Amino acid sequence: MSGPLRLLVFSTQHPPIPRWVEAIASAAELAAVRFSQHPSDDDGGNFVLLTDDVSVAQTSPLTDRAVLVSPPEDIDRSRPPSLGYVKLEVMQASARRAWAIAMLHNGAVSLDAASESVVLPGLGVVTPAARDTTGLAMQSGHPLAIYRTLPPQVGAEAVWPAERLSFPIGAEFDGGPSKIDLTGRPRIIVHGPYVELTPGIWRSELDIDIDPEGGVARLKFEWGVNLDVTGQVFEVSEPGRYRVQLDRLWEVQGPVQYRIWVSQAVFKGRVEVHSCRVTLISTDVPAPVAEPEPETATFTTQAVVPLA
Amino acid sequence: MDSGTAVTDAADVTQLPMSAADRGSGGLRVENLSKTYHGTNKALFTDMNFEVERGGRFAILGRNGQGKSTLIKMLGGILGPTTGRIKWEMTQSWPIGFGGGFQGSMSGLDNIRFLARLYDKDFDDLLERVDSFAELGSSLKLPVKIYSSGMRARLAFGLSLAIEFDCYLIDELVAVGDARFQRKCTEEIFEKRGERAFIMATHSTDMVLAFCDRAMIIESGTAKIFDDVAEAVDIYTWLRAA
Repeated sequence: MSGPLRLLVFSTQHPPIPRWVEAIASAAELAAVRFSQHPSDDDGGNFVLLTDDVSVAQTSPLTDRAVLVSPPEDIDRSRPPSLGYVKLEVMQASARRAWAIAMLHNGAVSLDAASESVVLPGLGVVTPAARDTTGLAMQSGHPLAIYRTLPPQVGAEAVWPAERLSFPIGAEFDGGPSKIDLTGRPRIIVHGPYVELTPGIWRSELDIDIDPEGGVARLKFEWGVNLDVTGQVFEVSEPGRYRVQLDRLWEVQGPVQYRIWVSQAVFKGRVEVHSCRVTLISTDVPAPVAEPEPETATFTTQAVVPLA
Repeated sequence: MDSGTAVTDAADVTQLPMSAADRGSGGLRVENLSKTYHGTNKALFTDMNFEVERGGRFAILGRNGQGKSTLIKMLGGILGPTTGRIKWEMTQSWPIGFGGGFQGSMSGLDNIRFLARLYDKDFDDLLERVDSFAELGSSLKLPVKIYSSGMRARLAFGLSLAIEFDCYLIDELVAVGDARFQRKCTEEIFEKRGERAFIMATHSTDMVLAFCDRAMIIESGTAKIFDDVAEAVDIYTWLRAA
C-alpha cells in the first residue's frame, strides 16, 4: 500500500449492519488504522469511514471506496405505509442505493453483506462473527425490489401499492384516500413516491379504476422527475379499470414521481388508484447530445375489468 | 311585522310559526328533495340536501335546464316537491324576478292591497314603499296582465323589498330591468339588507363571487355544495364551456 489508507465504506443499509460494523472496526484496529462512523474523526492519516449517509459520502475526501451492499431493509410493516415517515424511509433507502450504484460505476469495490466474508481494500479479508440472517426475501411487492441487485438489471421490477403514493387532501401534501372524488379545481391528485431511479428506461404501469359518472374524466398522467416528465392526457368516458403505461428515459438518477392531474375543473367523477408496477426496460443511456431528442414515451391503455 | 304565513299551497313545504319571539336560530333545511315534472320519467334532480342559515348567502349555479328556477320556485312554495322536504325556520320572499305570483286581472294597486292584507301591513305604507322602488306611478291602476315583464319584475321587487323577509329568493337578478334598475336592486338587497339571507339562482359568476358565501351546482340531476365559492365558479365555468 502506497500512502495512507483513506477508505470510505458506504452502507446501503440504515443503520449499517452491526456485525459488519464490528468486523470492519476489528480489522481496522488490527491494521492500526483509525475507524469511525463520523467524518469529523478524520485526522488526515489512515482512516476508514463507514457511513450510510449519502450527503457524507458525496462530500467525503476519502479516495478509496467500497460499497457494502445489502438487500433493501425491511420497511416496518407494523406501521401503516401511508405514514409520512415510512414513505420517507423508502425515499432515503432508494437514494442510498442510487448513490451506491453511482459509486460502483465510478470504481468503488462492491462488498456483498450477505456473504460470509469480504475483502476490504487495505484491510484484507474481513469476516463478521455471524452470518447476517436479517436480509429480506426480496419480493416484487417490496417498494425497493428494483434494487435486488446493484446496479439493477434489465427486467428488475417493483410494485408500488397505492399506499406508497401520496394523495393530497385540502392543502395537505399527503393523507387523502386512494379513492378520489375528482370534483374540484384543476390539481394534482396523486404524486410520489420519490424513489430514486438510476439511469435507463423505466416503465410504469399504473392500474386505476376510473368512473366518469356519466361524463368524461380528463386526467393527465406524468412519469418523471420534477418538471422533467413524460406526460399524457387521457379522456375516459366508460367506467372501468385501466392500465396506463408510460416509458421514460432517465439520463441521470433522480427521485421519481408518478403524478396524476385533474387538468380542468370538474363536477363529477371518481378514481381509485390500485398499484404502479415499475420495470427497468433498458440500461442503454445515449450519450448527451447538443439538442435533446424527443422523449421516449408510449402510452397505452386497456380496459381490464369493467365496473359492475 | 312578519305574519309568518307561508305563501304556498305545497303540502311539503313547511313554514313554521314566525313571530319574532318564536323564531329559532334555524334557517332553511332541504332534505332529500327531488323533482320530476308530470309527463316525464326523468327527474330534474334527486336527493338534494342542503341548509342555509340565517344571514347565509347561497348561490345556485347550473346550466340552462338543470333546475335552478324550479328549485327557487319550490323553495318559494310555488311548486311542490316530488319527494323530500323543505323546512323553513325563517320567513322567505317569493322568488324575486318571478312575475307569476300576481292576480293578472287585478291592478297593481289591488295586488298591493291583497298582499297588505295577507301580510298584515298598512296599505298606504306598503304602497308608498312599493312605488318608491318600482316607480310605476299611474300604471299601478292598470291590470297587471298588461304589464311588461320589466314592469312586473319591478312590482315584484318593490313588494319583496317593501315587506321585510329573513331570506330573499332571487331568480336571475340580472335578467330583468334596465341597468339602473339592476343597480337599485343590488343596492337594496345586497347592501341595505346585508344581514339577511338570500338564495340566488344565477348565471352571473361575478355576482356569486361578489355576494355569496356558499354555492351549489346542479348538473345532470346531481347537486353538490361548495363552501369555496371560487371553486364552484371554476367548475361551473368549465361546465358552461363544455
